[in-house]
Amino acid sequence: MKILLIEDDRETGEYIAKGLNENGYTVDYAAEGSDGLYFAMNNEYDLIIMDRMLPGIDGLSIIKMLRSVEKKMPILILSALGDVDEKVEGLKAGGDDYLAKPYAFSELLARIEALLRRGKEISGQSLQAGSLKINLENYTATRGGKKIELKPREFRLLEYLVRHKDHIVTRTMLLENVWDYNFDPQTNVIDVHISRLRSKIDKDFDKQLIKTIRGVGYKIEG
Amino acid sequence: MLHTTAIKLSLKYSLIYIFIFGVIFLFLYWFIGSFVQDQTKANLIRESKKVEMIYNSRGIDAIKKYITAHRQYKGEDHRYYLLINKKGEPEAGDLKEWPPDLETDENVMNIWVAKKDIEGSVKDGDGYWPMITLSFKNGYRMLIAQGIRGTEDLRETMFAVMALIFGIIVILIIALGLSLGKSVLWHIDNINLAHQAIMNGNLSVRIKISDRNDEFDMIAEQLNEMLDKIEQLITEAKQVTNNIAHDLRSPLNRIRNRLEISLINKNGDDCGEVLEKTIGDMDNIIKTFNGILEIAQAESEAAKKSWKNINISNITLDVAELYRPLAEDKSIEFHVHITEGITIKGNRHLIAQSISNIIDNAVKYTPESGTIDIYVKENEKYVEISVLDSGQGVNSKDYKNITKRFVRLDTSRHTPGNGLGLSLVEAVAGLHNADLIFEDNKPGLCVKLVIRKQRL
Repeated sequence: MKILLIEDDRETGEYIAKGLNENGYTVDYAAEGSDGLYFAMNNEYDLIIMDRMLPGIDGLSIIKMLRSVEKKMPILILSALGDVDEKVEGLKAGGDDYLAKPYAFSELLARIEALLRRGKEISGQSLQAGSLKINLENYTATRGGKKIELKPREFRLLEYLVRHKDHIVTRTMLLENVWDYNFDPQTNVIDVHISRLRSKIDKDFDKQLIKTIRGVGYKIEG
Repeated sequence: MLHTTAIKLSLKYSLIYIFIFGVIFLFLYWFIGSFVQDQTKANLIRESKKVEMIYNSRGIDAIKKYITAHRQYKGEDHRYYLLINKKGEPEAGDLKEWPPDLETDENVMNIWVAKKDIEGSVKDGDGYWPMITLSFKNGYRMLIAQGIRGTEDLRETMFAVMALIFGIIVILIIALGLSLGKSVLWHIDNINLAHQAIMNGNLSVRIKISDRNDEFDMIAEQLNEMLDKIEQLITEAKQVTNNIAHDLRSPLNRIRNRLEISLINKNGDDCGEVLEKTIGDMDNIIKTFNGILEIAQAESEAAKKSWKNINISNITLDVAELYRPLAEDKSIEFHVHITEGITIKGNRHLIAQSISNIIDNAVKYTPESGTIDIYVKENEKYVEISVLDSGQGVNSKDYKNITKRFVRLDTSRHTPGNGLGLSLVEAVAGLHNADLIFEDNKPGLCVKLVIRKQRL
């Protein structure tokens, strides 16, 4: 997987590049907008990580230019501007995800994985993880043929986890995608929701499907 | 002092008034002058009619007698006569000869007469005298003249009086103007004094207010109010800065100590744990900064640009459901009473976060097996979101403090949180034209967000 990183702060850039390398990605790093645009135009990348505030050409303009020449790779915007309006603006310009600085590297990694898998997700009416089956048509879930009673929000939570099975999803990703919230609640409510879900899904089984990844988030294995 | 606007303005207006008075006086002077002149003319015409009547009824000798008889009043009524015969020789009268440029017609003319042209000594001096002429059938001609001593006297006196009055008015106007300017300057000096003191760092100085209660006092009062507000804000800002420093010092110190100890025990057994705890502390610091930034954003009007109609019933229900499991884990009775379909104009994320902060607090401070009630209702004017808990509540004297940044009451010191939650709620309430109200729920706390409905 080849990733282009455009980030004007060299130290941050090098640290992200190193981290991504260690996780098995090939990274091209550009410290300036114009270099980044040149790389993106002349190479094929699976994903671009783009700082919004860049000297010279700014991030949003680069995204617009790339989109106008049919470059369709997913783009993850990094920005010190954290507010919701800025985020909406970034996504409108053609970005696929938006991460406000400062962020945890694990969060960045989880989002990169989610973006790379976008479009390759299991389509169809049902999803599966191990012995767990989800029917998207009538919103039912079964494990080992046994029906699991879920509330609508629990169903969406489970669906999101299963769609990203074998990959880590962070609490922020869950809040954004399952609840559509862009803030971190003061108390860690997500953990409680997960433990509820876990008690419904994993209670009567030896194999625990929902794994907690300490300090990062959750993963469903199947 | 002359360069100040106040003095310049008052001098300018003084000059304008002086000019206006000057014009009025000149007009008055001209008007009175011409009035007197008209009177003289009318007198001369009347006199000429009288003489004509004498001639018509009694002939030329009667006229001679009339003129001769007048001699005794000569100089007193300032009237002079001259009668000449066909050849132009004087027959009777006071003038020595017929003025060469005097023509014979019905009109009153102003003719130059010198003292030497009059027989005997008279008081009337040189000047253009108004005179009227008469021609009789036998070829005799006659002139009646009015000496100008009287009108001249009147004119001079009038001029003197007017000049005097004018002079007094000029002095008064300038004096008044200057004093007005100075009184304005006094006010401005007052403002300047306060301004300089404040610039020098003494924020508690206020502008002196006179007892005149004029518009300057009104401005001064408003400026003082503004200064009060600024002082209060600066004090609060200082407080917040201090609190930030204070709040961050302990986790930073913790991180430092932890790293130092792990440096001493180089064996590296607990390295992972140290790093994990450090990251946890760093995350909390970042959370605090994010919290501060979020409040700043909610306080800026820029947050209004993405306003939409939002369904407050659904938002509250969603947030409540987000917290329900948390409450149920503490065996809290969690009741949600929501009137459906209530909408307001606002920022969905900020409102959701505010409601989340309020409910978060309620769950945090309600003991096991307590109750929490959440209401959303509306009337014609307001939309009210209220969260009632059965916790230990807050002393009513602390209501105004709990929304301040980083303020954490002693009773909540040991619960997690950064003391920014209600500050954000208050900022969001301000943005949405809403009031954040605290009430005693006996026992517990009732937090109300009362949003005034926007007129559509």
